[in-house]
Amino acid sequence: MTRELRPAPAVDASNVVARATALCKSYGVGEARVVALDRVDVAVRAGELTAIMGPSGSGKSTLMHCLAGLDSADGGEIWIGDTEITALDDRELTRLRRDRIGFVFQAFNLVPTLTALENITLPLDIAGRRPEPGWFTRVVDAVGLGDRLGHRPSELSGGQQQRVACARALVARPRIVFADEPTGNLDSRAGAEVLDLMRLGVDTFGQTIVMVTHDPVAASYADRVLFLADGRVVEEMADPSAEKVLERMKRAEGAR
Amino acid sequence: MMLRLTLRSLAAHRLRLLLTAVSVVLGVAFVAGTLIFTDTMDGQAGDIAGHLGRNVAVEVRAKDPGGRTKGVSVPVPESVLDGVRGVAGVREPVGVVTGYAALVGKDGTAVAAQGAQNPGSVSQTGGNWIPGGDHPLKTGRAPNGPAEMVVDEATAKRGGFRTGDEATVRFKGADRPMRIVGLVGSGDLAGRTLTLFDTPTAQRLLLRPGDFTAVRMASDGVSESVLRGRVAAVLPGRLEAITGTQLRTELRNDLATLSYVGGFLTAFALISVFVGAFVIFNTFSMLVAQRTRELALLRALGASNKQVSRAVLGEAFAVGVVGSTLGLAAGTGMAAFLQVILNGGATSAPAFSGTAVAASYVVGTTATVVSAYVPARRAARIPPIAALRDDVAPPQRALGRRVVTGTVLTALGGLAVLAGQLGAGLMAKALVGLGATLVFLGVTALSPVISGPVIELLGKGFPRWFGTPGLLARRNAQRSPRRTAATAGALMVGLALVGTVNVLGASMKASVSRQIESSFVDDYFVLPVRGSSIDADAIRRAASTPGIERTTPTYTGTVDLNGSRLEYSAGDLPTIMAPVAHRMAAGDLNAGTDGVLVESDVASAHHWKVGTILSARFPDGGGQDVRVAGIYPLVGLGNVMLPESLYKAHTPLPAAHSLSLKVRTADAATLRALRRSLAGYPDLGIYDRSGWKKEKVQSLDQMTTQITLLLALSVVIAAIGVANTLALSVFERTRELGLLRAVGVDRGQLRRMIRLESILIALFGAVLGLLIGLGFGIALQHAMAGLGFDVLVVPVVPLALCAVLAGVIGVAAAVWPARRAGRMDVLTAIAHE
Repeated sequence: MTRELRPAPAVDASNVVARATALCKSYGVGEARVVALDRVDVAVRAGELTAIMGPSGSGKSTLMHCLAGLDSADGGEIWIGDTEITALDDRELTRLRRDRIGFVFQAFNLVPTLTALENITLPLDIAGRRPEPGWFTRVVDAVGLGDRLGHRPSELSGGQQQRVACARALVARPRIVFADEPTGNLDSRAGAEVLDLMRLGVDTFGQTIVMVTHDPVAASYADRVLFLADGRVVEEMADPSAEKVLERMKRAEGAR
Repeated sequence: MMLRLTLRSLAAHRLRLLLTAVSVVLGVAFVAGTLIFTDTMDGQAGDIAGHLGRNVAVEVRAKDPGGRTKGVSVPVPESVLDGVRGVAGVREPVGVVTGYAALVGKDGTAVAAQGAQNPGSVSQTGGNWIPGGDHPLKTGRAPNGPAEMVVDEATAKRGGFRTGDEATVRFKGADRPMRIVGLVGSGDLAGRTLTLFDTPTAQRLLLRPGDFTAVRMASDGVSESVLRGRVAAVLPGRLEAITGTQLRTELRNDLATLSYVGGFLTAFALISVFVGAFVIFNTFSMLVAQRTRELALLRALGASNKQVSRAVLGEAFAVGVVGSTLGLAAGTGMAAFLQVILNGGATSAPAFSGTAVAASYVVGTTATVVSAYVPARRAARIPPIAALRDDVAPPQRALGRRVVTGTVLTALGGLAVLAGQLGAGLMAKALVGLGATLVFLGVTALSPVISGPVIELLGKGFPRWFGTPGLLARRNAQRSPRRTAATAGALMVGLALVGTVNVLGASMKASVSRQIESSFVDDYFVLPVRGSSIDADAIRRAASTPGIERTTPTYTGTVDLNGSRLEYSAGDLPTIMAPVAHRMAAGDLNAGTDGVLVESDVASAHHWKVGTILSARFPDGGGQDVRVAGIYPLVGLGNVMLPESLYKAHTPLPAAHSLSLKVRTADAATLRALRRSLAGYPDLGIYDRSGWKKEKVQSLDQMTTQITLLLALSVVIAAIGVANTLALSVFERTRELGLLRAVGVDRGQLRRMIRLESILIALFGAVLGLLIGLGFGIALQHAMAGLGFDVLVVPVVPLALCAVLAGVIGVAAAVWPARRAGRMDVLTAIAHE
């Protein structure tokens, strides 16, 4: 079987926070076998907001889950910083997620029994670390929840909940934050607030963020967009705008 | 269509089905176990009573043989037998002899009865074998002559004897060799051994030649009561005639020693239904909440309100029937367990009555369907749109009504308990009981309301001690007050009863110990086993033992004083009464030969004063005037005290119920000598002060332990209920747990979180239960202070231990749910719908 090997995007290796090489992942066996990732090579650059886009079934969520140590790969290597994570056991992966990775999910991001503030400090509390006071104040200010910090998630709007989730991801200062369709459940205004906050995290705090989305507007906030199709990275776009992304998506749609 | 859906839904969620069914099975198992056990015990007693004395129309015996010296002090002379032969309607009158006789095993000790728990509760009975009587021969032939006997099968087997063997029989006074010439059945003995002789031998060895314990007769057609009247007319004054029916009732009551347990168990079965319904209701509420989306989807697709609730109810019914069946099976096992702990071994096959089976199904199915009704109605009200939204929870009713109901019930109950303290007698006790029940219901209603603050308090240190898992555990336990309260409620019921029983038990023990301290005047105490007594010869032997300075027998019986029948104790009053001599309400201890001492409340009830002359009638038919010489305080000695001379003057065959011995020097040699002189009386126990106290306290301890063990069963059920709730909670919170794992909570921390939540719920139930139990125990002790339970002891260590145990139960209950949560795959959990 011959395969066109697409070289990894040319990046300065010292600037790479997370990297996957020849990443393979499939589900099911025999006839029902579905290849989600087909020898994918990606590199996430530090201090950038990278968006991963692709149609349903393109493997974008699987890619993110593997990079974040939530799902195991069938083959290939994944590096978070200088740690190769495919060989780690559950305990080490948990610690990795706790100390070096932040998460923002599409929904159900917050623990309902904890207040907004407690949710923000949750990863730190679990690790038994104290937030750096100055840093903590800056992040919490950026979230802009003001006096609602003592409220439970059920008393917050969807947008507020997602912003709290962003703050939780940022406050622990992880190497990398993974956001899985963070605006998928929000109206455009609330979505914009969440994306602004993520942008702020990258620009002001120098945070590295990887975001999976299928919304061209959300992707336009990114520094770089990776397009996935059929388990492979098929294109990379720098300085995306919503129009450019939409155009690209239409093209892909037409090509099918 | 909906039926198919119901069945599909049941099959598709096996775990859910299992958890619900477990709650039903547990509830039903308890009810069934209790009923089957009670039926079995009842059946035993009933079989025997139906069998014993079945041909007897009338029995003649000494008046009121119910005292501790049963039927021994006043025998029935042989002349009575001739007398009743002349009465029209009497058929086949026979003299019955009973007494103490023990088969001695090859190891030299008396063969113990089946199911014997302690020596004091067994009677080794000897008697005369009567053709056509209660004990027909199974093998061999009737005993004939001074050296032959028949023995019951089980006792012979345990002793390793067969028909034709020579065996030693221990009588009061002497061991004798006898030959076993036949065996009788043992099925009806309930803790007795039986050795039977021919009548002259039995009279000579067990009683006195020419005397019987009782005379029984059949009727040739005349009704029992008519015949009783005719027989009574020819009897001397100290004897009475009773009908066969009364005799059988008495025999049955004698055998139904577990009747207190039976009543207790019935109450307990009711409680367990209550607890079981709690668990079932709780489970169904949770299940419906979980299925909100599924049910809403049905609604969106056009299912009517009614169809949805019918589907839920149908599911409940199916679960109820299956659960009841399994519960009935589990209950059978439990009945066997009850026999082991209450009866010293499973002595008979479980008896299934229709009631037990019906009750199991009715309770199991009804409780399940009723419990599912509220959630079903709630489910039917779910708006179809809920199917499309993510996080709908069925509306929770506010707790406001609970606050009002709970507060009113608790307050009323508290008042009733207080009122019970002021009153006296049965009415007061009933009030305390009613109040206790009300308080219980009130606290149950209030428990969801108070669960929040109480758990906050109990788990105050959790975040500091256990970090974030501790905080999350506390919040989770507070999350659904109703669920927490209902889960803890089952534990609360059990521990409230444990608390009550232990406070009462400890108080009784202390009260009895104190009574013994103040009434044990000498060095040794001799006491016969149940149903036996100390005869004059034994008293003489004890008195003539070297080293014994003084021997004081105490006798008991009943006497009519001015027409009131009163229980008396008799003996050397200055010695027996020495501990209360300085507390006499009036008069003194010098009663002379015709004086009596009267208890203060009896005296005041009859307006008797020192110097009052009373007309006394004794069971032997004799009567004389006696003088009130002194009035003594309530000390648990009985209503009246007679001088020994008065007792002896009216008792043909004196037999003491206890012997107090004072020694010159209390040393091992004296005790050895005493044991030697009483060696011929295997039915007599020799106790020193501490041994006697131990004996008394042991039986109370045993009772407390038995009841606590029973209650432990309910605690086990409650623990499984906790596990059930937790497992469902874990299932319900799958996504949340996944989130926690994603942000870095490790498996250990997750398990710890669930364990801590479990501990908090268990502790909540335990604290409430123990506090209620403590209150009830104190209230009951107060209410019974007049009966001699005048010392209140709060057994702090056992109760604290119970609280600790509740924590352990919490840990145990969390094992499985925690493991499940720990094993959860992070990604699947996050994606969980």
